[in-house]
Amino acid sequence: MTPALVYFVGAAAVLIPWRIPRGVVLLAVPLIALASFATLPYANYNQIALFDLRLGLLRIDALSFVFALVFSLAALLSLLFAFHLRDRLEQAASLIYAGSAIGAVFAADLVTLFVFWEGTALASVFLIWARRTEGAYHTGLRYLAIQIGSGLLLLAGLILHYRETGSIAFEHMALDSFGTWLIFIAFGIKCAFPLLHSWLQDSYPAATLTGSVTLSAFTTKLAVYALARGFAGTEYLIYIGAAMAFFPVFFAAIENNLRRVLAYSLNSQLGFMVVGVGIGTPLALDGAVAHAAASTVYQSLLFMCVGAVLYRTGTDRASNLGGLWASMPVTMAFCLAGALAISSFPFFSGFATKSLVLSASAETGHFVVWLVLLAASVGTLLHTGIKVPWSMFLGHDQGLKVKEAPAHMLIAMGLAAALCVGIGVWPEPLYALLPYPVDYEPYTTDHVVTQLQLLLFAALAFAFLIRRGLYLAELRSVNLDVDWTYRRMLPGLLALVSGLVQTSWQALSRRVDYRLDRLLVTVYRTHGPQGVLARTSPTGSMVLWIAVLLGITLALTYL
Amino acid sequence: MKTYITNKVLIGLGGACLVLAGADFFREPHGHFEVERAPLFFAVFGFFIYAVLIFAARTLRLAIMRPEDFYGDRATDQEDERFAGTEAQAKAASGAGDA
Repeated sequence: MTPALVYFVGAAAVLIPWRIPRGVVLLAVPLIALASFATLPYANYNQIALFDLRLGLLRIDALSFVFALVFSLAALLSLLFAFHLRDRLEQAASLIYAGSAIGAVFAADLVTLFVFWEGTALASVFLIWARRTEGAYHTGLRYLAIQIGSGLLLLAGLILHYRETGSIAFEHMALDSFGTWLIFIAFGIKCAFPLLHSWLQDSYPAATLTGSVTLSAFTTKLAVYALARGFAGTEYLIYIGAAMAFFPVFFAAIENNLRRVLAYSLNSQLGFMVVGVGIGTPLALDGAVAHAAASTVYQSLLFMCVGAVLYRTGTDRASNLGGLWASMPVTMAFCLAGALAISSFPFFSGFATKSLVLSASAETGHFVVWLVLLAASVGTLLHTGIKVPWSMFLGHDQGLKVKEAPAHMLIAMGLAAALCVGIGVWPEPLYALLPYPVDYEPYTTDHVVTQLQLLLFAALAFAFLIRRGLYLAELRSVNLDVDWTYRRMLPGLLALVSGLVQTSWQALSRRVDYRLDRLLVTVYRTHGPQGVLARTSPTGSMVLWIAVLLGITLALTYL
Repeated sequence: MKTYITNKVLIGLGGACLVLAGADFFREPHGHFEVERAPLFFAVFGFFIYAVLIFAARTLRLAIMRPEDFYGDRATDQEDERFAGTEAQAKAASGAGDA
C-alpha cells in the first residue's frame, strides 16, 4: 500500500492529548512509512483499474525511491525540530503534506499524481495559516490560489493527454502537444520557474518557524522529481534552470528577511537541478537527483537554524540580528555546516552533488550555461554561505542575550549537519542509490583546488568589501519581485479601469438623464394638459369647419 | 562597531589564498573548456564575480527596495515577527515555559 496512507492514518495521532507522547507517535510515522517501502524490490505495486483507467499507487524504481527516502528523512527531521509544538492543526498538516508528497512520488499515473499534487497544496497552506495573523491569512490565500492553479493545469493537461494518447501513465513526455505543455507549466509553477516563482518567496517566510522547515523540503523537490520523470532531456529546461540559478542571487543578496533569503537560495539551488534534468544525460540526471537529495537536507538545516534563532530571539530579520555566536554556539556550528554544504565546500554535501551537474554541462559543451552556474555558485556563497551565518552570529552585535536552541532542535539540526558532512565525505552510498551508475570522482586534486580557489577568493573579496565599508548594509525593507504584479499592479490597474468605467458611466447617465428630461419637457409641452395637441374644441366648430369645406367644394364645382 | 574581519583574519585568509594560488601550478587540469586550464581562472573568477554581484545588488536596491509596510496588512512583513511560533509567543499563550 502507498506509504502516503501511513501518514494520513498517522495524522490521527494529533488527537492524543499529551504533548510528549503525541510528539513521539508523530515521529514514529515517517519511520513506519519508510519501513513499509524500504525493503520492497523495484516494481509496480497497487495497480487498480478504475473504469478504463489503470491507476498505479506504488511505483518503486531508483528515481522514486531516492525522492521518497529523502522526503521520509525530511519529514522526520522537521517533526523532530517541531517537537515542542502544541498546535495540532500544524502537526496534522505537516504529516498530510509529507504523506501527499511521498504519495505523489510513488504515483505511476497522472491521475494519482494529480490527487496527491493537490494534496500537497491543500495541506501545506495550513502551515502558513498556522501563524494565525491577518497577513498570514492573505499570504496563504495567494499561495493556495497559485498551488491549486498548478493542479488545475495538471488536470487539464492530463485530460488532453489522455484524449490524445489513450494513456494516463506517468512516463517521459515530449513537448509536442497542448496537453503536455500544460503539464509542463503545472510542474514549472511548483518548481518555481523564473517569473512563476514568487509564490515561494512570498509564502515560505510567512509560515510559522517550524512550518517553513517543512515547506522547504517537499513541494519544490516534488516538482523536480516530476520534471525528471516526465521531461528529462527537454532542452528548454537547461536555459530555464540557468536563469533560475542565477537571478535569485541578487534578490537574496539584498533581502533582509533571512527566511526569504533562504527561499531565494532554495530557488537558485532548484535551478541547478533543473539544468541537470534539462541536459538529460545519465550523469546530469544523477546530478539533479543527488543535488535534490543533498539540497533538501542542507536547506532544511538552514531553515532550522534561522528558525531556532527566530524561536529564541523573536526575529528573523538580518538587520535586527547579530553577535549570537556567544549565546548560540552550537546552532552556529550547525549553521556553518549547512552554509558550507550549500556553498559546495569540499567535504560537504553540495560539493559531491552539484559538481555532477556542472560536469555534465561542461561535457555536453554548454559553455555559457556552465559559466552562469559557476557564477551562481559564487552567488550562493554570497547570500547563503556567508550572509546568513554572518548576519545572525557575527555582523552587528545587537546585544541579544538568549539561550542556546532547545535540545530537540539541536538534535534535528545535528542530524542534518551530520548528513551534510557525511554525504560530502562519503558520497558513494548516495551515488549507489541514483538512477544510473555514477562514473564520477569528485575528489580529484584539480577539482578540490579549483573549487577552493573559487570560494576562498570570493571570501577574500567579501573581507575586502566589508573592511572598506562597501558590503551591502542590512536594511529593514521589502523588495519588489514578480508578485508585485498581482499584489499591486493588477489590483491597481483594476481599480483604475473600474474608476474609469464608473466615472464614464456616471457622465453618460447624467447626459442621458438630461436628454430624457428635455424630451419629456417637449412632449409635455405638446401633449401635456396645456399642450397644443391636448386642447379640446367644441363639436360645433367641427361642424362649422365641415360646412366651410363643403361650401368650398361646392364653389369649386360650379367654377 | 566590532569588526570580526581583523587584520589577523585577513592575513590568514590571504595566506590560504596564496597557498591555493600556488597549488594552481601543481594541479593537473582536466576541464572541458580552455578557460579551465588557464592559470588562476577560478580564483580570479571567484573574486571578481563576488564583487560584481555585490555592486549589481546595490544598484538593484535603488530600483526595487520599498519600506517594510509596502504591502500593508495583507503581508506578514510589518507584523510582529514573534507571531511565527516563537518562544515569546508560546510563553504568552500558555503562561508557562517552553519545552
